This record gives sequence, structure tokens and C-alpha cells, in this order.
Amino acid sequence: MLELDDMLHGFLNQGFDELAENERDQFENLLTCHDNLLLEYLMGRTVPADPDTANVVNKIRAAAQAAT
Amino acid sequence: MSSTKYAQPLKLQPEASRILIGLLIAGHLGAIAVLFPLDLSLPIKITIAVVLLVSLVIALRKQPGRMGEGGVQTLTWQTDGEWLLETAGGEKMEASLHESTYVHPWLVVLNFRQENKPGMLTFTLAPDALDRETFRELRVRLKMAGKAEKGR
Repeated sequence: MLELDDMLHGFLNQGFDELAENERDQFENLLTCHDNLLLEYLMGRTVPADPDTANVVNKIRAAAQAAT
Repeated sequence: MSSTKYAQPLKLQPEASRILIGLLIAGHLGAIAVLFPLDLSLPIKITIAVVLLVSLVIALRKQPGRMGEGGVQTLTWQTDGEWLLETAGGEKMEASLHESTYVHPWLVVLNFRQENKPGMLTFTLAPDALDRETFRELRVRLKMAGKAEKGR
């Protein structure tokens, strides 16, 4: 999905460097999600149950919004 | 490029890619087809055609997946950043990802170097070689590894 590529790769260019070590692990875990679920998270239609994952999702979404 | 640490390993079990096999066959047969109208003697044309056919067979056998005993079946990006390559015959090889690795949404070319071995091992992965999620995870991780490399 190109939307996912845009958001994830955009985040790697802007935002990823500021993540703490545990947040980077969460980011990695997020990558293992199915495309549809990940898109739901990143579009803000579903909030991850795990607060740490939700925190990283919020950072990705904020970076994507800042880029537009 | 392989020294970044990861929370979990990434295991790739690529299937033979129909896209890549199609391109390999089309490219080689295309080269043979344009060979015959050329102003060369027939033995030379036949020799070149045979070389091209052998090249095609070698290229197909190098494809990941189940294309031959020598083919690598599993590539594991370990948590220490190194890779473990396993052939269908059970042979295991440690390898390091080389910085010349190429990442594109529709194509990934993994280049590996092995310690104390000359040359490079190359694996070309089209999107149909892996499931969608694994292919995406691989591309994002490769970008992460590329960033870490540039940051050093």
C-alpha cells in the first residue's frame, strides 16, 4: 500500500531519529502488523490497545501531518 | 550496514517470483532473438545462443525459493543485524548486508558479503516473492539500516 509506504518512509526521514530505544522497538513491532490494521492505526480509525504502540502511532501521524 | 540491533529477527522465505522469472526468460530469449538477424557466422550465433541459455539456467537456479538445491531458501535478518542464509540442502551461511543493497517499492536487491569469501551474494526480490507485510517490513527495515549507516 503506497499510503503506508509514504507514512512509514516519511517518518524514517523525519521523526524516527527522535525516538527512544524502546520506542524504536515499538516501531519495529508495528511493522509486523497486517497492512489493513496498520493503515487503520495510521489513519486514526483505530487506536492500538497498547499505550506504547499508540504513542508511536501518534508520532508517525504527527510527522505525516507536519509534512503536509 | 548490518550492525544495527533489532528487537526481533526478520525471517524471509521467498517464493520463486513469477515476475522475475518472466523478465529473465523474456530478456534472455529476446537477446537470442536479436542475435540471429545479426551479420555473424552461424557457429558464432549458436555459441552465443548456448551461452545465453546457460546464463538463463544459472540465473533461474540462483532465484530464491524452490528453484534448485543450491538456491537459498531462507534468509534471516538476526537481531544482531547479521544475516543467516540457509539453502534448501541445509547449508547455513553467515553474511553481512552490503551498502549497495537497493530498495524500491517494487524491487529489493539484497547484496551480501561473507567473511573471508570473495565476491558478493545477490538476491533480487520482487513483490510477489514474499507476502505483502513481510515485503513492506523488509523495505522499512532496510531504510532504517541505511539511515543508521549514514549516521555513523
